[in-house]
Amino acid sequence: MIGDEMQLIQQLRNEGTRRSAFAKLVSLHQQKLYYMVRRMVLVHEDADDVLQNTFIKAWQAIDNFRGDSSLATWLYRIAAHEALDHLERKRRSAAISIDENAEGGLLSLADQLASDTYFDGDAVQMQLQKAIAGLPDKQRLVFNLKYFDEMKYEQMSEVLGTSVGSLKASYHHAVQKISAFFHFND
Amino acid sequence: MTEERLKAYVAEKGKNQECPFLVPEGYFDTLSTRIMAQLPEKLPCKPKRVSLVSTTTWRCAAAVSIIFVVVSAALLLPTWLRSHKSELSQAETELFWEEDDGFEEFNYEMVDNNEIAYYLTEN
Repeated sequence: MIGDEMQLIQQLRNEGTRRSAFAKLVSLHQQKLYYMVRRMVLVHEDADDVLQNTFIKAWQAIDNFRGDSSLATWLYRIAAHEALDHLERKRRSAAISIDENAEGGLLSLADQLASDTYFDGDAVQMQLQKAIAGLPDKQRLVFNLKYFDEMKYEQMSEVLGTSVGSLKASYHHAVQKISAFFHFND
Repeated sequence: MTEERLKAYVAEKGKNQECPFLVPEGYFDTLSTRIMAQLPEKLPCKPKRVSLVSTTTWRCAAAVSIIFVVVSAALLLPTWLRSHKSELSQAETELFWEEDDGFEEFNYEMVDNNEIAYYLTEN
């Protein structure tokens, strides 16, 4: 696996093989990145936009990839920032302040999941998504990466640029909040 | 509640789905093609740092300055020397006239005190 990654990195650095190598990179990571983004933005069309922007930015920054982290971590980092930026832009355009996030914004989108063609969750999944949507954006990202992607804290630390200790605390608090949400609504 | 208990709770209460989010049919099959179609053929060139004044311009300016100094020195220096030469000549002339007042120049190393006294009393 490490050898394959090294080979892919070499091909990405070579102008002659860059495009084919990048197409391979997209194919390898598109699904995982899509669902990571989708869990953040909830709507398929938004997730599609964010994912495409992620790969375009990755292409533009390919020369800056130093190999300090794996390609997956690097892509996750770009995707995470793109998703957070997207949510921030959407919030600004809807003129909803950060303090009101719990009352509107993503929570209202979570309410619309029931009528979303591309959501196949039952009532419990709906509740879970609503509970997650009530978290602050970065905490929600931490929760999603740990709970759904089962990402190790060390990798998450590289993705988000936050210490492992802070991530553990953030995740712990997120679990507590979601559990409280379930108890309240049970 | 811990993560394990939360997962168990969610699994117990509802159908244990991997992921409730769906995508349009064939979405991932065409995603790579759609993304590659948006990428430019070549990577954008890194912007070069451009100084306000290019190196060539600096060199030309330095050369012109040196030439200017040399030409100025060549033109002005003789004029300065001539003006100062006349001053020097005048000083020398004044010194000459000052010296030429009819007295012989004594070579005090060649005369003794008696002769000096004689000359002084004679005049």
